[in-house]
Amino acid sequence: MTLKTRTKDLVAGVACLTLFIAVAAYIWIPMLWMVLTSFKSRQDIARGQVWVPENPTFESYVNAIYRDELPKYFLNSTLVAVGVALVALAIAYPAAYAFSRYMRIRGMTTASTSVMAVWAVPPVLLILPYFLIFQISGLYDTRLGLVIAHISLTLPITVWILRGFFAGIPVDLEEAAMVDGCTRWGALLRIIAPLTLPGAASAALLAFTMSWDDLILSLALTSSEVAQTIPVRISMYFGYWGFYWPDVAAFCVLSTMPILVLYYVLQRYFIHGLTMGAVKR
Amino acid sequence: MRLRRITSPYLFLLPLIAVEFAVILFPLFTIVRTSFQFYFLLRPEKVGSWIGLENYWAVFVDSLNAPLTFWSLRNSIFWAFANTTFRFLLGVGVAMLLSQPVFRRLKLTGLTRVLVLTSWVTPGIIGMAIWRLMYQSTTLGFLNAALTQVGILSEPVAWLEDPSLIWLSCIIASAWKGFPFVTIVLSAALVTIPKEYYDSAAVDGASGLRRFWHITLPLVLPVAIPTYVTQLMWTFNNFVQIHTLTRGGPADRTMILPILVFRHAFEYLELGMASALGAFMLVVVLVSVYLQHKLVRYG
Repeated sequence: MTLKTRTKDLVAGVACLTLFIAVAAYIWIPMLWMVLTSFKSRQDIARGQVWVPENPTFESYVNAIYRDELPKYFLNSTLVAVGVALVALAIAYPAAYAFSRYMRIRGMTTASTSVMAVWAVPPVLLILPYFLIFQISGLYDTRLGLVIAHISLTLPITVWILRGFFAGIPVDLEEAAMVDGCTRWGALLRIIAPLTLPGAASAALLAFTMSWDDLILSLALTSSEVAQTIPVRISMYFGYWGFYWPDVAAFCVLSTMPILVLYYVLQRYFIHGLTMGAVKR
Repeated sequence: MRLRRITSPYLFLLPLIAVEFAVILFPLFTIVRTSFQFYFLLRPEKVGSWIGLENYWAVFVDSLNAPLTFWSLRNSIFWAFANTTFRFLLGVGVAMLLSQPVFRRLKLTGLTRVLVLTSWVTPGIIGMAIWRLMYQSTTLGFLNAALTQVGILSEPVAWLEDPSLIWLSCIIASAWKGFPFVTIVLSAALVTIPKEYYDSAAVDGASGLRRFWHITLPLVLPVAIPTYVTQLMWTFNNFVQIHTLTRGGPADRTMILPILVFRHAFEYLELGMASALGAFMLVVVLVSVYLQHKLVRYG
């Protein structure tokens, strides 16, 4: 390698890294700013303390946990999201298998297209019928009701991701097992299921995240802390004039942390799920 | 045995079809029905009576509501295209950046992906709350504090109120949440392009731009187009972002259809009018999905 190409490589490398630092700043400065704000005290704000708080306080965290009852909302969000992930997986798994193995059978293409078309339905439409139906059936303001409502949002993406994973497993594997005397169900359970575990984890995680993320359905279908989720509680801060920013910030920091920890621990599955749905077809 | 072989594929599908019917089709059918009914909740004695096209008339013709309806439609379309295009270009740009050899050589590929996806994983309302804080005009707002301190601004700017800035501010906040998805998907697509293509193009003396035009672009398009279209749909349907940033304000300047439907339903308690507007939204989305399906043949 000549000196000239090496300098050229070096310059390009430094330029790339600098650009990446700019991108990272765009992503990270807002998050760090939220954390800084959550520690600001009334004195800091009154004195116009801009950067690092001079008299940092945990008051906002205490407020978030005790006065604003974060644990209750957190429990609601988590229970609903776990329920959604499990139910979505149970329904999508066999369907995705069918889509990946029997696409040539009559009606399969139509079924698959219409499931994917559900992706296009604006969630805001669903709040009206759900509101009316839940009022009558007693599901209004319950966690079970939210699970049902969120399922409608998450099914297409779970089917889509799982189908990608099934497509990556050779049909020969099951056929070999069936030649050796397994039934189709036996082959599915003993051979295929273990291989699709990472796919199932990815699909469940994305369903969990989508349910955790939802504001509109939860906002329309709950009215008390019995079922209200974290996003609903946060939107309530903005419903009043003169909310206190450090309190909102502390609430947001506390409720985001578990999600980010989950993401960093299981990032492989997140990234795999996203790319599987889009690239393998 | 033969019968079982024929029916089992459908049995696998049965739970999905049954649930989709219950949680999507039936609710959508209910919307279409209530859009032809009187559903002003404050007059319960009349609720449920058939009133023909009155709800549609109230939303699209009556001078009380129609201007705001069409204003929101215009905003929704503008917001969907401007926002999606911005986040898409940013996402593609960052994906191309991360595919540069320097990240692979320093073994940073995994780390960069994880860092980038952080803002996508952050729940939508929290992301938008963070940006609302960033845009504050007091010393609590990072942008104003930083820009005045550096001397770029002489006085704080109302990022979420100034008519000339408001959409830009919303787009920057929304892209923060949305672009990593595009980056991750496009990165995965870029990886699948065989390196030999670039090598032989380089041997033939093709410039960087020509390599992009003749190799990268055609091979990435089958992934890029559907990604753009789904992002477009999601943005058009998205409620939480504008709701958290501006609530459609100030003075309905950033009103979009999802927020208008919500307002008709839960602030004015006019479920009939909300349904009529909702049915219209559904038609808009389904027609665009159909057109996209017909016009763009990919895969």
